[in-house]
Parts: sequence; structure tokens; C-alpha cells
Amino acid sequence: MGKSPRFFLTSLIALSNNILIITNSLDLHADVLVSKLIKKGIMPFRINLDEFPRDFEVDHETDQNGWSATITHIPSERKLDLDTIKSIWTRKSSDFTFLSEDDYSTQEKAYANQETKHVLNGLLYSLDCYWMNHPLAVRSALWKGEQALRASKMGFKTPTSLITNQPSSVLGFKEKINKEVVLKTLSTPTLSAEKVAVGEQVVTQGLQTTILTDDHLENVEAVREIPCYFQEYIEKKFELRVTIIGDYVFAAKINSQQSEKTKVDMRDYSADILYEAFELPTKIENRCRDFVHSYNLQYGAMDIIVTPEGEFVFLENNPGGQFLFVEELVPELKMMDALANCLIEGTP
Amino acid sequence: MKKVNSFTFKVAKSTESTKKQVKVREGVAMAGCSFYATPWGGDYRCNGYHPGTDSGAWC
Repeated sequence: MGKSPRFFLTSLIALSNNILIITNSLDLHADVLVSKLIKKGIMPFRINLDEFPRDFEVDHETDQNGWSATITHIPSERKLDLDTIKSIWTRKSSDFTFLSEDDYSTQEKAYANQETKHVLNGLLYSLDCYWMNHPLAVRSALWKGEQALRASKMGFKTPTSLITNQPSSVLGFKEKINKEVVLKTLSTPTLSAEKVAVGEQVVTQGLQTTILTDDHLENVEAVREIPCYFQEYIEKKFELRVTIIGDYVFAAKINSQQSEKTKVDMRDYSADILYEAFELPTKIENRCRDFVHSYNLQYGAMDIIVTPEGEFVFLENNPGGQFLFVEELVPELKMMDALANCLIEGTP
Repeated sequence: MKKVNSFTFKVAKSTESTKKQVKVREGVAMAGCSFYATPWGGDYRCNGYHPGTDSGAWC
């Protein structure tokens, strides 16, 4: 019996399965990248974790002589031979989905998630290919306390900060710096609202960077519950979003002081403020690239304040931060092209 | 509903009533959020409980 046209198409595509994208089915960044790669004649293999393992077949064999592994996307019949992978782009995470999970007990589901994570990580982590970013590198780069220390050692100016669960330390800090103090979150500004059902959310809109008032400080005893992150408020001329993709560095100037909505925290995207391309001083550009690469990351989105005095103050680096919205607002920053190039080349 | 106990939640709660629902600006497909189509139109995934979301305005 002859092979179906679909078989030949699948086989042909399999030859170019050398870029693996790990994300979820709702990720627009991946949608845009995939269409860009297809236009360049490359068909990447995409694993949507929210469809894994339900929609995939996995075979991973090891013996004395090595290993072989394939992942097949069942609906499209596309098969990925893992030793052909040249580049991996890890973009978004998601909960897994299982064939009969509606019937799973809590225990079985917990085990299923844990086991599947082990299967996937065991399969992928040993791949000696170009990663943007390797999850272990991301994990090492996430911690803001460590980021600030590293940034400072690398020559960035950083804000004076305090992490404490001692009310007296908060009051002492405010007195010592004799400036306004902001409260920030270290892990998530959503305050984990997305992790609980809507009816169970006690705070729905998260916490923006907030200048503390005397009214807020009347509750300062409550810092004993969970350590909090305080920082001196830095006056801004404007802000920068510096995106590092491989060796490329893209800087967007965010005129956050143009609107009351974005003066203290620029993450109100409804504000009609100007985003524009910005040319970094070479020294700062190199420092940003070196900072991201120091974690073995190939991607990072850094937030930097430029003060009225012209100082560049490091705030944080987001190893999984988004960049497409910046490119939409500043089209001359061709970040998606740079990403595609890095993944195609398999080098920075 | 349980009360809030920690300083962070107390501050967030105190500012919540003054906030408006953040919306993305016109003409930008996603301002930090991934856009996806639904049978009822587009959505920027700003709404709360959905695994794999970009966490709305915060992403």
C-alpha cells in the first residue's frame, strides 16, 4: 500500500525538526515565531505543555551505548527525533493534561504531574544543544536579592533595599534613607490570584510598586507574617526595557513619567505613553549583555531606571519576560527576527 | 471570605478600591499579554484563574 501524501509531508517536515519550542497553547509569542520560521522554510516542533502528555507519544530508551528518544504529536502525526534538535526555546510553562484526568484522585493527579515533569526534564535537560533559556539557568537567575547583589558587583547602581519581617527595621529603614519607600513583591505582583478560583481571591488586582504612606505603615506589625521587600523610591527621568536575545541587545525607552498611571509603576499598559528605541551607552549595553550571560542565559528582559541625573539604575532581570508588546510599540526593534536567527543558527 | 493578614495584602487591599481595571491600549495586539481568539471574540487573558495565562496586565 502506498504512503499517503500526509506521510511524505510529515517525513519531509521531520527532516527540519531541529528547533523545539516548549510553551503552552495560548502563547502568542510562540505563534508569531512559528509563522516567522515557516516563512524562512523551517518547521519547528512545538510542545504545548497544557496538551502534554495527552496529545503526545513519548519513547525514551537508554542502554549501555547511549539513548534514543522520540516525541510524536498525535493529532498532526509529526515526530521529533530528539537527537536532531539544534535549538530549544523554552517560553511558557503550564499544568499538564492527562487522558482521564477528570477521573483522577488528588493523589493520582499530584503523582501524574510530578512523574511527567520528571519524564520531560530527564528527556530534555541532557540535550547538548542551544538553549534559550535552559530551565536550570532560569532557576538560578530568578532571585531578586541575588540579582541586585550581582548587578552591583558588575557595576550597576542599584536601589537601597530591605527585606525584613521586623516592623522596627521597616521604620528604621525609612528614617535612615530619609526618602520615600516603595513596597514591591519579589515573586509575583499578582499575589498569586491566578492560582485560586475567582470566588476565593481576597485581592484580585495584585500589588503594583506602591509608595508607602503613613496610613500603610499603621499596619507595619503585619510584616511579621511574611517578609516584605522595601526599596528606596528612585526618581525617574524615564525607564528602559532592555531585552537581550543571544548577543543582541535591544533597548526601549519608556516615557513612564508622561502619565500619572505609570509614574511609579510602568506596568499599566493602558497609559498612552511613548515607547521608543534608545541607544545605550556602549558600557551599559555590554554590562547588560554580560549580566544576562553570567547566568548562562541567552535571553533576559531587564528593567532599568534612568534618573534625572542620567544614572542607570538596575531594577531587575526577567529571564522569561515578554518582548512582543515592546516590538509592537517600537517596530524598529526587530526582536522576533533576532530570536529566529539565534534559534536557526543554534548560536548567539 | 478570609481576612487579609500580611502587610503586602493589607497594602494591596487598601489600594484596590482606587484602581480601575487595567485595559490594554487601542491598536496594540497585546500590551504584555498574549491575545487569543475565542468564539465570543478576542481576549487578552487578563482574567484570573486560567492555567498558563500571562497573568494579565502584569505579564
